[in-house]
This record gives sequence, C-alpha cells and structure tokens, in this order.
Amino acid sequence: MSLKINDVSKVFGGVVALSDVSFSVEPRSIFGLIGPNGAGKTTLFNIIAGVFKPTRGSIMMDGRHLENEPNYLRIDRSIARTFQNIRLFPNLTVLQNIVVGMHNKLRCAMIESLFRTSRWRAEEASARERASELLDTFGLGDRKDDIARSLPYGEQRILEITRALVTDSNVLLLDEPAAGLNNVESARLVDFIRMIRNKMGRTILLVEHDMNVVMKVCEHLVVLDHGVKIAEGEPCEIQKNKQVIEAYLGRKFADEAGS
Amino acid sequence: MTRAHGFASAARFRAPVFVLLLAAAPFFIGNDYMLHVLVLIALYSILAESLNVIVGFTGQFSLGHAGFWAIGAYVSALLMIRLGMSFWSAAVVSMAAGYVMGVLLGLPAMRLKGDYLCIVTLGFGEIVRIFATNLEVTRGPMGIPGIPMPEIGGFSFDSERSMYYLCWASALATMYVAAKMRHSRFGRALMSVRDDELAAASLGVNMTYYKVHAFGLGGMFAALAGALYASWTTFISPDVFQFSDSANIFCMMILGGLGTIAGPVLGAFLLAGLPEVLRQFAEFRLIALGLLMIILMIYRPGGILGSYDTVGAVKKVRRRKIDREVQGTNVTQNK
Ligand SMILES: Nc1ncnc2c1ncn2[C@@H]1O[C@H](COP(=O)(O)OP(=O)(O)OP(=O)(O)O)[C@@H](O)[C@H]1O
Ligand SMILES: [Mg+2]
Repeated sequence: MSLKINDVSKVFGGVVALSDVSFSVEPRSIFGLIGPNGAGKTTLFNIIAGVFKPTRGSIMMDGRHLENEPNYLRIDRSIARTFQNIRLFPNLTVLQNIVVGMHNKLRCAMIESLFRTSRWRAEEASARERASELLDTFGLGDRKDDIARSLPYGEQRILEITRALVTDSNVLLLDEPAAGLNNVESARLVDFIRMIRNKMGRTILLVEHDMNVVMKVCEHLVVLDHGVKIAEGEPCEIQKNKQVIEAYLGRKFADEAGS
Repeated sequence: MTRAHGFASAARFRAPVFVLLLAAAPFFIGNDYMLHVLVLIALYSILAESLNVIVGFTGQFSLGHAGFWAIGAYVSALLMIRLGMSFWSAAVVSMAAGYVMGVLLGLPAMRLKGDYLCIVTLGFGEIVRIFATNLEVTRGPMGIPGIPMPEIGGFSFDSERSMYYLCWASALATMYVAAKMRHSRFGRALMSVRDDELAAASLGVNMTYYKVHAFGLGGMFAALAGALYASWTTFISPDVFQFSDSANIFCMMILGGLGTIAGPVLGAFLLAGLPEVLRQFAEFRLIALGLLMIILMIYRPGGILGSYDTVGAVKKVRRRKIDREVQGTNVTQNK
C-alpha cells in the first residue's frame, strides 16, 4: 500500500517535464501534489498510472517496480485514477460506467450471458447492486439509468471518482477533481474525499489548483515547479515557503512575504 | 437520457412480434422473388450486425467486411465439395476461419485509428478477393459452381422457403448474441474501449485483447453469412464480394443505428430491400436512396434507431489525433 516515486525524470523531445522527483506516499494519507501550470503534475500522474514510462527513475508499489508494466495492469497493483479532462464512457449509462470499473472482479465469460446461466445472473445482479449502493452514497442514485454524457459537469466529476473507487484500489490518483466546480460542489467534494479516506481507508494522491480544497483536505504536500520538486511538507509549512510563493506569484511577492 | 432505456424496453416488447412476423411471412408471400429478397436481407442483416460488433461496439472502422463474407463462403464451399463435409460442419469450420482471420486482421489494425484503419481494412477486403481470383483451389474468376445445400436427416434445404427459415434463424441468433453481449463483461469492455481507450485501460481493460476479439467475432458471424450464401446460391465467384458490398454493409449499419441491435437489420431492410422493391423506378431508386441517406445523416446522425453519438465519434477520431500529438495518450505507445 505504500507508493514510492524514486528519482523520476521525464523528457518529451526537448522538454524536460520532470527531473529527479522523489517522494513517498504514506498509506491512508491525503497527499497533495501542487504546482503552477505546466509543472509536470499530470505527467507524473501518467507515469504513476503507466501511460508513460519514465525516462529515468522508478515507481514502486509495495516494493515492486511498476515502470515497465502496461497501464491496464495498474488496477492489479491497486492504483486507480481520474483524469484532468474528465474521461467517462459518454455513451454508456451511469450504472454501466461503474460496472466497467468492476471489470477485474467479474468472472463470467461472454458465453454465460448468452445462456443466462444462474452464475451470470447472480454476478450481474450483485454488480448492479454494488454499483447502485456506491452511486447512492455519492448522491448519484437517481441518475443510474441516464447516459453519462447527459450529466452536468459536476456530477460527471463525481461519477469519474466513483468509477475509480469501485475498482477497490488502495491508491486513488485524482487529477484536479475540483476544476470547474462551484463552491457548493467543491465543498461536497471535500467531504467525499475525506469520507473516501476515513471510511473506506484509501490513500489519495490529489493534484489540485484550488488552494482552498488543497489546504482543507491535504495532510502532506509536494510542490513541483518546472518539473522540479521545490518543497515538501505540511500545508501550513508550505504556505509560508518562500520558494513556493515565488513559483506561484513571482519573486516580488515572495520578497514581500518574506520581509 | 432516458431514451436508451425506453428503446431497450420497447425492443423487449417488439422482438417477439418481429419473430412472429418473420415466421408467418412465407405463408403470405406467394412469389419466390419476394422470398428471395427476404433471404438476401437476412444475410445482409447478419453482415451488418456483425460489422456492428467491430464498429458500433468497439469503435474500430472497418471497410473490408465483404472479405470475411468471402472467406466464409469459400471455406464452406470448398470443404463441402472437396472434403464432402456436411453444410453444418463446414459452416462451423468456416466460422472458426472467420474468427481467426478477424484476429489476424485485428492485430495490425489495433494500432491504427480513423482513416488509416479504413485503408488497412479496405485493403484486407481487396486482398481476399485477389486471392480468390488467383488461387487454384478457388478456381479463380470462374468461381465454384454446384455448392451443396444444407441437409438434415434426409430433409434438404433446397426450397427458397426452407432457406428463408434457415437464414432468418441465423440472423436472429446473431442479433441475440449481439443483444446479450451488451450485458456481459465482454460487451461492456468493448463499449468502454470504444468510448475511451485510456479510461478503459485505467480500469483494467486490456484494449488489445478486446479490439482483436471484436474483429474475431465480427469475422465469425460474417463467415456464417458467407457459408449460408454459398449454399443458397450454389455458386460463388470473386466478383460477388466487392468493395461496394463492404461499403453497402457499412451504410446499412450507419443508417439503421450504429451500436444498436435492431438498427443494422433495419438498415439491411432499407438498403437491400428497397432497391429491389423499387426496381420499376430504375435509376431513380438509387438517387432516391442516396437522398434518403443524406437527409437521414443530417437529421439523425446517430442512425434511425441510434442513440449512440456518431457525430461525437467522428469528433473523437479527431480529438484522439490531437491527444496523441499533444498529450501522448496513445495507450499502446508505452515507450
Ligand atoms: N505528451 C506530451 N508531449 C510533449 N510534451 C508534453 C506532453 N505531456 C506534457 N508535456 C509537457 O510537459 C510539461 C508538463 O505538463 P503537465 O501536463 O504535466 O503539467 P501540469 O502540471 O499537469 O499542468 P496543469 O496544471 O496545466 O495541468 C508541459 O511543458 C507540457 O507541455
Ligand atoms: Mg495537469
């Protein structure tokens, strides 16, 4: 359940998106990854999620190297994610979106669905039930049969998180879940994130620009700037860190804050 | 929104009616010509329905479906003539051949998208035809005459009416498989790959496996249509399986409703049936059909029964290209 990032670098052509980033994520923590636009946060998520291979460095989960495994095996390593630009299955229903999240748990072959075997019926029923329960928990219960693309933006965000949760992965990577949400919705999101950790015992790695959300939920922060880790620590320390203020607001503000 | 749901329950109600109508039709249709057209529609239904597994369910463009049809027809015909197999075992073997060819085509096709995939699959259809034209076993352009009819315990399917029942039973079976598939782990995985490959992979769906097997299944049912066709007409030759057929099958699927179950069959009725019914209007019928196609695509881009967002799918092909360039999100490109 412990995730370690060791000296990870990523170069795209001439662009150094990440250079020698290391940190480790404690189990059951809410861990924030912040930094200005283009800092390399999403790139790091993609590396953890197996979309990219790091140019150098390694990703370890419970002492196991992940960097050479293809992305669809990340679920077996207990890592699930959401995307910065929501990626639902837009033509499937809300419920179907969730049931796809149970892909690795379902066992019935296609042929069993043709003959409607009792095993298949039981499996489908329990999958639907589990999905409905989870959707109820996250306030999407009466949206079950709607086509995903018809949901309002805020609910799409929640649905995507729910879909990642249903995989039962211990580590959830959330890429800017509060982006585009209004105040009410992001307050709800904060509650959900806390609940996911407190009640469900998951580890959350959160990329977020909304400092309100970050400071409310994160217990530990890593700050990236131009692909370099410039600070790490508790939110209250980070808020005072001169380098971080400089990265976000420019040198002038950093000097003012320091003096 | 709730429309997909409405369609599903409507389909549950209409399916038995459709089956009954089909079963009763031969008793009301006197002339063999109409039955002949209905058999053709049954075969095109199988073809459009099976193409739908590849395109509508999995989101892979394929313009070579007549290739699988030809493989099914030739394999079945040759097994019956050369090895004296019964139609039933020949059909099963030809379906297996269709599956294998689908997988073989799916392997290289998997890495391609949009226009490139169209070209590769189009090439596949042509290659099959060229092989059929040049091989010795297939007797080249002369084709294979005298293909035996299906027989079961002394009963021979040699009448138009018996072939009608056999072909429609096969078409309904294909529809059944497609319909049930959507509620299986397998079918949902196909649709998730269609809607978003990267998201599907992030949930543990092995895109390669599903794309390849979608081609396999599509090829398998198209081969069944081929085996039926060969025995029905008793004669096949390379120029039966043209690119224009692949394109026609594609249009049936799009017109009826991509990703739906009844859509491809409706498309087969319209595009294989109407031209025959309207034969007296000669050339005008083709113009009328062309217009129908254009009007429908403007007002119902998802197809007549479609709820799946075809326009979105086209946009997505474009978006994916941008994705690949800007974000490097090509899942297989894990370098
Ligand atoms: N596939 C790619 N190909 C080339 N360059 C890329 C690719 N992905 C990211 N980059 C570059 O890497 C750098 C880091 O981008 P990344 O998306 O990781 O930033 P980010 O911290 O997530 O920013 P934001 O807050 O805007 O989402 C940027 O300069 C970006 O242009
Ligand atoms: Mg980002």
